[in-house]
Amino acid sequence: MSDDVFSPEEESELLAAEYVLRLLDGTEMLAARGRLASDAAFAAAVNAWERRLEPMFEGVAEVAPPAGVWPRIEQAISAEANSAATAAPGDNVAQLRRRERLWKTYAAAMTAIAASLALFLGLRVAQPDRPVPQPQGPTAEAPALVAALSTQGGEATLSVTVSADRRSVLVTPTRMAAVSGHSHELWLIPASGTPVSLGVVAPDAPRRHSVPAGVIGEVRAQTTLAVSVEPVGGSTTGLPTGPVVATAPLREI
Amino acid sequence: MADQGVDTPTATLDRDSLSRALARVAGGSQEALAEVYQRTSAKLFGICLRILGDRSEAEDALQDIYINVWRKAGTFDPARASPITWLASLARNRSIDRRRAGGRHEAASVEEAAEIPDGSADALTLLTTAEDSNRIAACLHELEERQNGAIRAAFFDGLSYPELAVRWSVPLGTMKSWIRRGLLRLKDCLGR
Repeated sequence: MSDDVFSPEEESELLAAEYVLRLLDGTEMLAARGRLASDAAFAAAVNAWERRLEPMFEGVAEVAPPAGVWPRIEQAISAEANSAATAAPGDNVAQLRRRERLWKTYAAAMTAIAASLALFLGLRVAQPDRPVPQPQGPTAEAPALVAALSTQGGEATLSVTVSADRRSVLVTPTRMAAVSGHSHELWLIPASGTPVSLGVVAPDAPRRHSVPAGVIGEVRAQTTLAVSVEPVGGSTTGLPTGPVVATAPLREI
Repeated sequence: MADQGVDTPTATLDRDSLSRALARVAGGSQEALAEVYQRTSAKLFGICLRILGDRSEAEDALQDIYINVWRKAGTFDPARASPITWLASLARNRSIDRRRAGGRHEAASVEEAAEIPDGSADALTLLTTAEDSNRIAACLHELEERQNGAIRAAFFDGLSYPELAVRWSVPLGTMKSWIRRGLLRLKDCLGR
């Protein structure tokens, strides 16, 4: 946009600062997020800017919130904690809370996902091999989780729809130019920042991929998915080895 | 355990006890969340209010933020960030997401923002030392007036490049140039 010319190092520094400040939007933001997941030096630069800017929070005036806010928070978390406690007291509370929520919303989310498939990205799945469930019963506010990933030039475009129990994802390539000698691999970027493979994308057909048990809890809105180019059959190191060509956050719909 | 957090001897102690409280939140202690709320909600509400510019939106955001703290406390890593920075960044990001998702809420204008006073210096020993705070203030001051103003608006009001360009009535490229040059100078100054 501007005429300034910065060195690659400066560009990298600036992108890190822009990411932290939230100056970017849309695809630029996603690109930065993808880089954060795949580039350790960039992640370090982001962390350095967070530390650099941290003292500025002191410049924000404290304002006591109204007394009514805390009781609402307490009520919300008590509801979660109680449902977890009745499920199995003394077990991993966070996990149980999550599981409880997921089971409650299972049926409704399945319906929402089925509905979303048709809408999403002009997705065409010829001859679905099972009937689409009709909405019925207490349809809940349960949001379905989806992501649309596309490379900059559009050579590869795919959609990801998460199952209601968050244990698997349906990956549908809507456009996948054959890259000879390479595979596209799908990754989930958990809060830890270390990508976890969701498997190699089949170039020509929708395919269901299991979510590794360790990151099921990370499958939620705003979690980033990324696609990297890997040797045929996928990365052999457990981490992306080729360039990250697309990223997108999971979104609730 | 910890009470007001005002009379504690050092910022380090405050940080450590807040980190421990967050660890207890991660373990499912509602009492610990109450402590975290008591100690940090005024700062976080200030952040929400500044970015959202609307009291009821800011209240909803604050509620959402602490429910998120309850769910995500396990992801806090004291080696990467101080607890208050983690919380403040969460508040800032959620507020920005909320405003950008809504699209209907304009950020507080320059005039409105000016009505929200700056925090008192003693209010947050939790953060970092006063030295750090003075240092970044001094470095921002070294920038051109418009660079300083735009970077501050980006940080405090959570404005994106296009929003900043509108507020200053300059082309997007001009705004990017101001900020990017300013950021590099800021980094240099802080590294000195």
